[in-house]
Amino acid sequence: MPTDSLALILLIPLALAGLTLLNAGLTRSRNASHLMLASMCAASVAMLIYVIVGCSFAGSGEAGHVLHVAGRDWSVLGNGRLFARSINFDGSVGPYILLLQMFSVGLAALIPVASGAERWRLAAVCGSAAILAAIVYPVFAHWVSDQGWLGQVGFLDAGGAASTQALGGITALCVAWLLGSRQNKFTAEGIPTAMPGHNGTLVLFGAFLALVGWLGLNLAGTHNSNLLPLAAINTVLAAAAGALGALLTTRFRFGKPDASLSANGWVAGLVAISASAPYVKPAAAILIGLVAGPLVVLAIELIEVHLRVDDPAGAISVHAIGGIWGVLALSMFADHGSFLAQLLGIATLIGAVLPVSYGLNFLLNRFVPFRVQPSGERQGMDLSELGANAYPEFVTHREDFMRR
Amino acid sequence: MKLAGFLLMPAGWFIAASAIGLLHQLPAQTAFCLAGVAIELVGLVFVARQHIPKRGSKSAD
Repeated sequence: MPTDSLALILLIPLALAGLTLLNAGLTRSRNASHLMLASMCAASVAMLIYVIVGCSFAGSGEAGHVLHVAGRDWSVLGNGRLFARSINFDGSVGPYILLLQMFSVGLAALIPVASGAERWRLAAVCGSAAILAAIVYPVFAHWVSDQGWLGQVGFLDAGGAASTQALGGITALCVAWLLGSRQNKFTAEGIPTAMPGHNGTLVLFGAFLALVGWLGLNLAGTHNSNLLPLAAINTVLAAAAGALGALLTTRFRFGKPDASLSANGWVAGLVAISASAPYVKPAAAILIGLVAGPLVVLAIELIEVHLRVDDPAGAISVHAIGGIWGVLALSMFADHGSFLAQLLGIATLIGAVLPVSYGLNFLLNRFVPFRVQPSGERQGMDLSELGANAYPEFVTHREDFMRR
Repeated sequence: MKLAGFLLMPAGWFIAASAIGLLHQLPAQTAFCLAGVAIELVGLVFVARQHIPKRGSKSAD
């Protein structure tokens, strides 16, 4: 395999960098440095734990542990060895898959950091990333692989819309539920207060950078090299359509286009096309992006206003809703997509991944409290946890959103 | 209700997964799978409602 594949996989860290920048731009300046460090810690812990433990559950290309139920074989768990010792580093595809999975689990682990921004302690971020990388991600990644029971049913997910994006987004929802909202985010009447991010430039630059990383994700997940140009074209088209869809939606709903929601629409287009980039025609990719953009704008509103979940960067809407839409869209637009298999994949995300992720994070919260002290939150996570602000010299902030 | 919601989610998933193993016709499998997802969504609604802070209580302080 291919040096080309290695080059594509090496683009993926740019998706991590892009998402981190985007999320940092969407938080207030007093938390920017903490969010960047928390993202780096989450990705680092996730990649290490995945190699130490997780890849043994994910397996390395064999059926692994199989249950024989109702006349079918259900491959439920890989049977690799700890520290990736079952992978042969002799020119086989194993190391390439391991590297791809390491970056994917890193990406999945930094999605919840966005939903817990401005109140999630660093130690708890690392603990939650370890849980995700050791148990939740590897088991689901094995299920959707070619050898896993979902893969055997016909579930398709080329670039990880389900196994990386939706899984990360669902974990982000669990974390946001467990943390509760930021101080004064909601009034006593339950009306959300606007807490705008501190740097729109970072948000938009992060979105652009994420495109390069996503090209790596989607192209590395394309097994047929003849389909690589199609996958690349579809990725770009879906991102563009997602951004424009979100821009038009905000223009008509709020009177002016919203930069941060348009950036989220761009990323939602990338997330949604991840499942089907090599399988659909360009027109379908545009449609997938055009639905993903407005869907994310509406989902952010629903989650914040009606469900009163505080998600500072919109990670739940972008990654969970966008990912689930992408998985479903594959069955509508791809020639060999199976509606039943894709539906079963979604059922697994909601029925298995969400309760397990919530339960494990709930337990972790008992031992490593997730939430920072109220005084620390008021002070800002940069000062409270790191002892220094991201912008010590030129940013002065009033406590605009704090009760005096 | 939160616990009921969290029990409904895997229950729906078992129904959806069982449809693949136990039924052989595509329409029946799809119908059971859709029913499973519907049950999961009911569970999700239960859990989501339990996490909505009560009116009159300000965000964590």
